[in-house]
Amino acid sequence: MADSASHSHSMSHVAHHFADSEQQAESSKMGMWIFLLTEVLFFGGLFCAYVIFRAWKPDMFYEAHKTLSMSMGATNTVVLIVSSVTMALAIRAMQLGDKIKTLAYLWSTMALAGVFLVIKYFEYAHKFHVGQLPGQFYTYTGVEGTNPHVFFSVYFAMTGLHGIHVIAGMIAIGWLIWRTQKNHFNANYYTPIEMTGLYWHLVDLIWIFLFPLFYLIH
Amino acid sequence: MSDSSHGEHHHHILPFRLYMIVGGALILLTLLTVGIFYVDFGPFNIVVAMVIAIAKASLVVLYFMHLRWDNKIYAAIFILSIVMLGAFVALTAVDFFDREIVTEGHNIPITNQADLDAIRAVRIPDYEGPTGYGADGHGDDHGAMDTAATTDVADSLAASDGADTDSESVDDGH
Repeated sequence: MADSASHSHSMSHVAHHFADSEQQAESSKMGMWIFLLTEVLFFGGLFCAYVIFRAWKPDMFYEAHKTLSMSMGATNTVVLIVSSVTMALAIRAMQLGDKIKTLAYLWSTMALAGVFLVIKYFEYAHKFHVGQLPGQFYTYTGVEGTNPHVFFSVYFAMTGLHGIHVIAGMIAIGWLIWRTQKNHFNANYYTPIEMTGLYWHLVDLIWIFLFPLFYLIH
Repeated sequence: MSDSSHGEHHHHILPFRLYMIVGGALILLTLLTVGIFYVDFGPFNIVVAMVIAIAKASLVVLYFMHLRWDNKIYAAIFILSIVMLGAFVALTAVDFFDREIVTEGHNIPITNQADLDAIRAVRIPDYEGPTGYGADGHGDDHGAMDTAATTDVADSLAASDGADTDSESVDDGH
Protein backbone atom coordinates (compact mmCIF):
# COMPACT_ATOMS: atom_id res chain seq x y z
CA MET A 1 0.00 0.00 0.00
CA ALA A 2 2.69 2.42 1.04
CA ASP A 3 4.68 1.57 -2.10
CA SER A 4 1.88 2.24 -4.54
CA ALA A 5 0.86 5.37 -2.69
CA SER A 6 4.37 6.73 -2.92
CA HIS A 7 4.59 6.36 -6.72
CA SER A 8 3.11 9.76 -7.27
CA HIS A 9 0.59 11.98 -5.59
CA SER A 10 -1.94 11.88 -8.44
CA MET A 11 -2.03 8.06 -8.35
CA SER A 12 -2.64 7.82 -4.60
CA HIS A 13 -6.23 6.66 -5.18
CA VAL A 14 -5.08 3.46 -6.95
CA ALA A 15 -5.28 0.40 -4.72
CA HIS A 16 -2.29 -1.97 -4.81
CA HIS A 17 -4.14 -4.77 -6.63
CA PHE A 18 -4.82 -2.64 -9.71
CA ALA A 19 -2.30 -2.04 -12.49
CA ASP A 20 -3.36 1.57 -12.97
CA SER A 21 -6.08 4.15 -12.47
CA GLU A 22 -7.80 3.16 -15.71
CA GLN A 23 -8.14 -0.50 -14.73
CA GLN A 24 -9.39 0.44 -11.28
CA ALA A 25 -12.06 2.75 -12.71
CA GLU A 26 -13.19 0.13 -15.23
CA SER A 27 -13.45 -2.49 -12.48
CA SER A 28 -15.57 -0.16 -10.34
CA LYS A 29 -17.83 0.49 -13.27
CA MET A 30 -18.24 -3.22 -13.98
CA GLY A 31 -19.19 -3.82 -10.36
CA MET A 32 -21.64 -0.92 -10.49
CA TRP A 33 -23.36 -2.24 -13.62
CA ILE A 34 -23.73 -5.67 -12.02
CA PHE A 35 -25.29 -3.95 -9.00
CA LEU A 36 -27.63 -2.08 -11.36
CA LEU A 37 -28.60 -5.45 -12.89
CA THR A 38 -29.65 -6.64 -9.43
CA GLU A 39 -31.57 -3.37 -8.99
CA VAL A 40 -33.46 -3.95 -12.25
CA LEU A 41 -34.42 -7.42 -10.99
CA PHE A 42 -35.26 -6.05 -7.51
CA PHE A 43 -37.79 -3.68 -9.07
CA GLY A 44 -38.55 -6.43 -11.60
CA GLY A 45 -40.45 -8.45 -9.01
CA LEU A 46 -42.78 -5.50 -8.49
CA PHE A 47 -43.06 -4.79 -12.23
CA CYS A 48 -44.05 -8.44 -12.56
CA ALA A 49 -46.75 -8.00 -9.89
CA TYR A 50 -47.94 -4.90 -11.74
CA VAL A 51 -48.21 -6.74 -15.07
CA ILE A 52 -50.16 -9.61 -13.52
CA PHE A 53 -52.58 -7.51 -11.50
CA ARG A 54 -53.21 -5.07 -14.33
CA ALA A 55 -53.78 -7.88 -16.85
CA TRP A 56 -56.16 -9.47 -14.37
CA LYS A 57 -58.10 -6.28 -13.50
CA PRO A 58 -57.60 -3.80 -16.35
CA ASP A 59 -60.86 -1.93 -15.68
CA MET A 60 -60.20 -1.52 -11.97
CA PHE A 61 -56.67 -0.22 -12.73
CA TYR A 62 -58.19 2.34 -15.07
CA GLU A 63 -60.72 3.45 -12.46
CA ALA A 64 -58.18 3.50 -9.61
CA HIS A 65 -55.58 5.49 -11.54
CA LYS A 66 -58.04 8.41 -11.67
CA THR A 67 -57.32 8.96 -7.97
CA LEU A 68 -53.72 9.89 -8.82
CA SER A 69 -52.75 13.45 -9.73
CA MET A 70 -51.31 13.40 -13.22
CA SER A 71 -49.92 16.93 -12.89
CA MET A 72 -47.99 15.92 -9.77
CA GLY A 73 -46.67 12.80 -11.49
CA ALA A 74 -45.67 14.72 -14.62
CA THR A 75 -44.00 17.44 -12.54
CA ASN A 76 -42.02 14.81 -10.67
CA THR A 77 -40.97 13.22 -13.97
CA VAL A 78 -39.56 16.55 -15.16
CA VAL A 79 -37.91 17.16 -11.75
CA LEU A 80 -36.10 13.82 -11.93
CA ILE A 81 -35.03 14.38 -15.55
CA VAL A 82 -33.54 17.76 -14.66
CA SER A 83 -31.82 16.16 -11.65
CA SER A 84 -30.33 13.57 -14.00
CA VAL A 85 -28.96 16.39 -16.16
CA THR A 86 -27.42 18.15 -13.14
CA MET A 87 -25.93 14.84 -11.94
CA ALA A 88 -24.35 14.22 -15.35
CA LEU A 89 -23.05 17.80 -15.35
CA ALA A 90 -21.53 17.30 -11.87
CA ILE A 91 -19.45 14.43 -13.30
CA ARG A 92 -18.50 16.56 -16.30
CA ALA A 93 -17.45 19.45 -14.05
CA MET A 94 -15.12 17.18 -12.07
CA GLN A 95 -13.75 15.71 -15.32
CA LEU A 96 -12.73 19.29 -16.03
CA GLY A 97 -11.38 19.65 -12.47
CA ASP A 98 -13.88 22.36 -11.51
CA LYS A 99 -14.66 21.83 -7.82
CA ILE A 100 -17.00 24.82 -7.47
CA LYS A 101 -19.21 23.77 -10.39
CA THR A 102 -19.18 20.16 -9.22
CA LEU A 103 -20.47 21.26 -5.83
CA ALA A 104 -23.10 23.51 -7.43
CA TYR A 105 -24.40 20.67 -9.62
CA LEU A 106 -24.37 18.18 -6.74
CA TRP A 107 -26.33 20.59 -4.53
CA SER A 108 -28.79 21.16 -7.41
CA THR A 109 -29.29 17.41 -7.77
CA MET A 110 -29.83 17.13 -4.02
CA ALA A 111 -32.36 19.98 -4.06
CA LEU A 112 -34.29 18.47 -6.99
CA ALA A 113 -34.40 15.10 -5.21
CA GLY A 114 -35.85 16.99 -2.23
CA VAL A 115 -38.50 18.61 -4.46
CA PHE A 116 -39.40 15.14 -5.77
CA LEU A 117 -39.88 13.83 -2.23
CA VAL A 118 -41.91 16.85 -1.13
CA ILE A 119 -44.32 16.35 -4.06
CA LYS A 120 -44.45 12.64 -3.26
CA TYR A 121 -45.19 13.52 0.37
CA PHE A 122 -48.24 15.56 -0.64
CA GLU A 123 -49.48 12.71 -2.83
CA TYR A 124 -49.00 10.14 -0.05
CA ALA A 125 -50.50 12.41 2.64
CA HIS A 126 -53.69 12.79 0.62
CA LYS A 127 -53.93 9.02 0.09
CA PHE A 128 -53.41 8.33 3.78
CA HIS A 129 -56.09 10.88 4.61
CA VAL A 130 -58.78 9.37 2.38
CA GLY A 131 -57.80 5.74 3.02
CA GLN A 132 -56.48 4.87 -0.44
CA LEU A 133 -54.05 2.47 1.17
CA PRO A 134 -52.69 -1.02 0.46
CA GLY A 135 -54.52 -4.25 1.20
CA GLN A 136 -56.33 -4.40 4.53
CA PHE A 137 -55.66 -0.73 5.25
CA TYR A 138 -57.83 0.30 2.30
CA THR A 139 -60.84 2.22 3.59
CA TYR A 140 -61.79 4.23 0.51
CA THR A 141 -65.03 3.39 -1.28
CA GLY A 142 -64.90 5.56 -4.39
CA VAL A 143 -63.22 3.27 -6.92
CA GLU A 144 -65.40 1.22 -9.27
CA GLY A 145 -64.43 -2.32 -10.23
CA THR A 146 -63.24 -5.17 -8.05
CA ASN A 147 -60.25 -5.39 -5.71
CA PRO A 148 -59.27 -1.69 -5.83
CA HIS A 149 -57.08 -2.17 -2.74
CA VAL A 150 -54.72 -4.22 -4.92
CA PHE A 151 -53.98 -1.19 -7.11
CA PHE A 152 -52.85 0.75 -4.05
CA SER A 153 -50.79 -2.18 -2.78
CA VAL A 154 -48.86 -2.17 -6.05
CA TYR A 155 -48.75 1.64 -6.19
CA PHE A 156 -47.30 2.03 -2.69
CA ALA A 157 -44.89 -0.88 -3.07
CA MET A 158 -43.43 0.45 -6.32
CA THR A 159 -43.40 4.19 -5.61
CA GLY A 160 -42.33 3.45 -2.02
CA LEU A 161 -39.35 1.36 -3.08
CA HIS A 162 -38.51 4.05 -5.62
CA GLY A 163 -38.80 6.72 -2.91
CA ILE A 164 -36.41 4.76 -0.68
CA HIS A 165 -33.98 4.75 -3.61
CA VAL A 166 -34.32 8.52 -3.94
CA ILE A 167 -33.51 8.90 -0.23
CA ALA A 168 -30.50 6.56 -0.60
CA GLY A 169 -29.40 8.64 -3.60
CA MET A 170 -29.62 11.83 -1.53
CA ILE A 171 -27.43 10.23 1.15
CA ALA A 172 -24.90 9.22 -1.52
CA ILE A 173 -24.95 12.70 -3.05
CA GLY A 174 -24.46 14.22 0.41
CA TRP A 175 -21.43 11.98 0.85
CA LEU A 176 -20.11 13.15 -2.54
CA ILE A 177 -20.58 16.80 -1.55
CA TRP A 178 -18.60 16.16 1.63
CA ARG A 179 -15.79 14.38 -0.24
CA THR A 180 -15.69 17.01 -3.00
CA GLN A 181 -15.46 19.69 -0.32
CA LYS A 182 -12.54 17.75 1.20
CA ASN A 183 -10.72 17.75 -2.17
CA HIS A 184 -10.89 13.96 -2.50
CA PHE A 185 -11.60 14.21 -6.22
CA ASN A 186 -9.81 15.67 -9.19
CA ALA A 187 -9.86 15.42 -12.99
CA ASN A 188 -8.05 12.06 -12.79
CA TYR A 189 -10.12 10.54 -10.01
CA TYR A 190 -13.87 11.00 -9.72
CA THR A 191 -15.09 7.36 -9.73
CA PRO A 192 -17.48 7.73 -6.74
CA ILE A 193 -19.24 10.65 -8.49
CA GLU A 194 -19.49 8.63 -11.69
CA MET A 195 -20.85 5.54 -9.88
CA THR A 196 -23.40 7.55 -7.89
CA GLY A 197 -24.36 9.13 -11.21
CA LEU A 198 -25.06 5.70 -12.71
CA TYR A 199 -27.21 4.84 -9.69
CA TRP A 200 -29.06 8.15 -9.86
CA HIS A 201 -29.80 7.73 -13.57
CA LEU A 202 -31.23 4.25 -12.88
CA VAL A 203 -33.55 5.78 -10.26
CA ASP A 204 -34.66 8.26 -12.95
CA LEU A 205 -35.02 5.40 -15.45
CA ILE A 206 -37.36 3.47 -13.14
CA TRP A 207 -39.53 6.55 -12.60
CA ILE A 208 -39.71 7.00 -16.40
CA PHE A 209 -41.61 3.69 -16.44
CA LEU A 210 -43.57 4.20 -13.22
CA PHE A 211 -45.06 7.48 -14.45
CA PRO A 212 -46.96 6.15 -17.51
CA LEU A 213 -47.75 2.82 -15.79
CA PHE A 214 -49.57 4.47 -12.87
CA TYR A 215 -50.57 7.99 -13.91
CA LEU A 216 -51.39 7.50 -17.60
CA ILE A 217 -53.62 4.43 -17.70
CA HIS A 218 -55.98 4.84 -20.64
CA MET B 1 -20.37 5.24 -33.74
CA SER B 2 -18.63 7.09 -36.55
CA ASP B 3 -17.55 9.75 -34.09
CA SER B 4 -15.94 7.30 -31.64
CA SER B 5 -12.44 8.47 -32.47
CA HIS B 6 -12.07 9.07 -28.74
CA GLY B 7 -9.77 6.33 -27.56
CA GLU B 8 -9.78 7.05 -23.84
CA HIS B 9 -12.52 5.55 -21.69
CA HIS B 10 -12.35 7.24 -18.36
CA HIS B 11 -11.56 10.75 -19.46
CA HIS B 12 -14.16 11.03 -22.16
CA ILE B 13 -15.76 14.44 -21.71
CA LEU B 14 -19.01 15.09 -23.53
CA PRO B 15 -19.95 18.61 -24.61
CA PHE B 16 -22.25 20.59 -22.29
CA ARG B 17 -24.62 21.16 -25.22
CA LEU B 18 -25.20 17.40 -25.60
CA TYR B 19 -26.52 17.11 -22.02
CA MET B 20 -28.85 20.05 -22.65
CA ILE B 21 -30.15 18.51 -25.89
CA VAL B 22 -30.74 15.10 -24.31
CA GLY B 23 -32.40 16.68 -21.24
CA GLY B 24 -34.61 18.79 -23.52
CA ALA B 25 -35.55 15.73 -25.58
CA LEU B 26 -36.49 13.84 -22.39
CA ILE B 27 -38.76 16.68 -21.26
CA LEU B 28 -40.36 16.91 -24.72
CA LEU B 29 -40.99 13.15 -24.71
CA THR B 30 -42.59 13.50 -21.24
CA LEU B 31 -44.93 16.18 -22.61
CA LEU B 32 -45.61 13.96 -25.63
CA THR B 33 -46.56 10.97 -23.49
CA VAL B 34 -48.92 13.18 -21.45
CA GLY B 35 -50.43 14.56 -24.69
CA ILE B 36 -50.85 11.08 -26.15
CA PHE B 37 -52.81 10.13 -23.03
CA TYR B 38 -55.69 12.31 -24.25
CA VAL B 39 -55.79 10.63 -27.67
CA ASP B 40 -57.68 7.36 -27.88
CA PHE B 41 -55.69 4.60 -29.54
CA GLY B 42 -57.85 1.91 -27.96
CA PRO B 43 -55.67 -0.93 -26.71
CA PHE B 44 -52.58 0.70 -28.23
CA ASN B 45 -52.34 3.57 -25.72
CA ILE B 46 -50.25 1.39 -23.41
CA VAL B 47 -48.07 0.37 -26.37
CA VAL B 48 -47.46 4.00 -27.39
CA ALA B 49 -46.76 4.97 -23.76
CA MET B 50 -44.24 2.13 -23.40
CA VAL B 51 -42.54 2.95 -26.72
CA ILE B 52 -42.04 6.55 -25.51
CA ALA B 53 -40.81 5.31 -22.11
CA ILE B 54 -38.32 2.97 -23.83
CA ALA B 55 -37.13 5.84 -26.04
CA LYS B 56 -36.59 7.99 -22.94
CA ALA B 57 -34.84 5.13 -21.13
CA SER B 58 -32.57 4.64 -24.16
CA LEU B 59 -31.56 8.31 -24.12
CA VAL B 60 -30.75 8.12 -20.40
CA VAL B 61 -28.75 4.92 -20.76
CA LEU B 62 -26.89 5.89 -23.95
CA TYR B 63 -25.98 9.49 -23.06
CA PHE B 64 -26.29 10.09 -19.31
CA MET B 65 -24.96 6.63 -18.44
CA HIS B 66 -22.43 6.82 -21.31
CA LEU B 67 -23.18 3.36 -22.71
CA ARG B 68 -22.81 4.73 -26.22
CA TRP B 69 -19.10 5.37 -25.62
CA ASP B 70 -18.19 2.98 -22.81
CA ASN B 71 -16.84 -0.55 -23.03
CA LYS B 72 -19.59 -2.74 -24.51
CA ILE B 73 -19.37 -5.15 -21.58
CA TYR B 74 -21.48 -2.69 -19.53
CA ALA B 75 -24.13 -2.54 -22.25
CA ALA B 76 -24.12 -6.35 -22.30
CA ILE B 77 -24.73 -6.47 -18.53
CA PHE B 78 -27.57 -3.98 -18.83
CA ILE B 79 -29.20 -5.84 -21.73
CA LEU B 80 -28.83 -9.06 -19.75
CA SER B 81 -30.82 -7.49 -16.91
CA ILE B 82 -33.66 -6.67 -19.33
CA VAL B 83 -33.61 -10.19 -20.80
CA MET B 84 -33.74 -11.71 -17.30
CA LEU B 85 -36.59 -9.38 -16.34
CA GLY B 86 -38.48 -10.35 -19.51
CA ALA B 87 -38.11 -14.05 -18.79
CA PHE B 88 -39.15 -13.51 -15.17
CA VAL B 89 -42.32 -11.58 -16.07
CA ALA B 90 -43.30 -13.74 -19.05
CA LEU B 91 -42.93 -17.08 -17.29
CA THR B 92 -44.73 -15.85 -14.16
CA ALA B 93 -47.60 -14.40 -16.21
CA VAL B 94 -48.03 -17.57 -18.26
CA ASP B 95 -48.11 -19.64 -15.09
CA PHE B 96 -50.46 -17.31 -13.20
CA PHE B 97 -53.16 -17.07 -15.84
CA ASP B 98 -52.99 -20.81 -16.36
CA ARG B 99 -54.23 -21.32 -12.79
CA GLU B 100 -57.91 -20.39 -12.53
CA ILE B 101 -57.85 -21.38 -8.88
CA VAL B 102 -55.84 -18.23 -8.15
CA THR B 103 -58.17 -15.80 -9.89
CA GLU B 104 -61.63 -17.27 -9.34
CA GLY B 105 -63.79 -16.05 -6.49
CA HIS B 106 -61.57 -13.04 -5.76
CA ASN B 107 -63.63 -10.31 -7.37
CA ILE B 108 -64.63 -8.02 -4.56
CA PRO B 109 -66.10 -4.58 -5.20
CA ILE B 110 -65.43 -1.97 -2.51
CA THR B 111 -67.81 0.86 -3.38
CA ASN B 112 -69.65 1.38 -0.09
CA GLN B 113 -69.23 0.97 3.66
CA ALA B 114 -70.92 -2.47 3.73
CA ASP B 115 -68.50 -3.81 1.07
CA LEU B 116 -65.63 -2.42 3.08
CA ASP B 117 -66.78 -3.93 6.38
CA ALA B 118 -67.36 -7.27 4.71
CA ILE B 119 -63.94 -7.50 3.09
CA ARG B 120 -62.26 -6.32 6.27
CA ALA B 121 -64.19 -8.83 8.37
CA VAL B 122 -63.11 -11.65 6.08
CA ARG B 123 -59.51 -10.62 5.53
CA ILE B 124 -58.42 -9.11 8.86
CA PRO B 125 -58.00 -11.51 11.79
CA ASP B 126 -59.89 -10.39 14.92
CA TYR B 127 -61.70 -7.65 13.01
CA GLU B 128 -63.88 -5.72 15.43
CA GLY B 129 -65.96 -3.52 13.21
CA PRO B 130 -65.16 -0.37 11.28
CA THR B 131 -62.14 1.52 12.59
CA GLY B 132 -59.56 3.89 11.22
CA TYR B 133 -60.03 6.29 8.34
CA GLY B 134 -63.49 6.60 6.88
CA ALA B 135 -65.08 5.21 10.04
CA ASP B 136 -65.18 8.53 11.89
CA GLY B 137 -68.54 9.47 13.33
CA HIS B 138 -69.85 5.94 13.62
CA GLY B 139 -70.20 6.36 17.35
CA ASP B 140 -69.69 3.79 20.08
CA ASP B 141 -72.87 1.79 19.63
CA HIS B 142 -71.74 -0.54 16.90
CA GLY B 143 -71.62 -3.74 18.92
CA ALA B 144 -74.44 -6.08 18.01
CA MET B 145 -75.63 -4.11 14.98
CA ASP B 146 -72.23 -4.33 13.35
CA THR B 147 -71.87 -8.00 13.92
CA ALA B 148 -75.22 -8.49 12.25
CA ALA B 149 -74.33 -6.28 9.30
CA THR B 150 -70.92 -7.91 8.90
CA THR B 151 -72.44 -11.38 8.93
CA ASP B 152 -74.95 -10.22 6.37
CA VAL B 153 -72.37 -8.98 3.90
CA ALA B 154 -70.09 -11.93 4.57
CA ASP B 155 -73.03 -14.12 3.59
CA SER B 156 -73.54 -12.15 0.40
CA LEU B 157 -69.81 -12.42 -0.31
CA ALA B 158 -70.05 -16.16 0.11
CA ALA B 159 -73.18 -16.11 -2.04
CA SER B 160 -71.39 -14.26 -4.85
CA ASP B 161 -68.55 -16.77 -4.66
CA GLY B 162 -71.20 -19.46 -4.76
CA ALA B 163 -72.78 -17.82 -7.80
CA ASP B 164 -69.46 -18.12 -9.62
CA THR B 165 -69.31 -21.78 -8.76
CA ASP B 166 -72.92 -22.25 -9.85
CA SER B 167 -72.36 -20.77 -13.27
CA GLU B 168 -69.41 -23.09 -13.68
CA SER B 169 -71.47 -26.12 -12.68
CA VAL B 170 -74.06 -25.05 -15.26
CA ASP B 171 -71.28 -25.12 -17.83
CA ASP B 172 -70.37 -28.58 -16.65
CA GLY B 173 -73.96 -29.67 -17.15
CA HIS B 174 -73.84 -29.01 -20.91
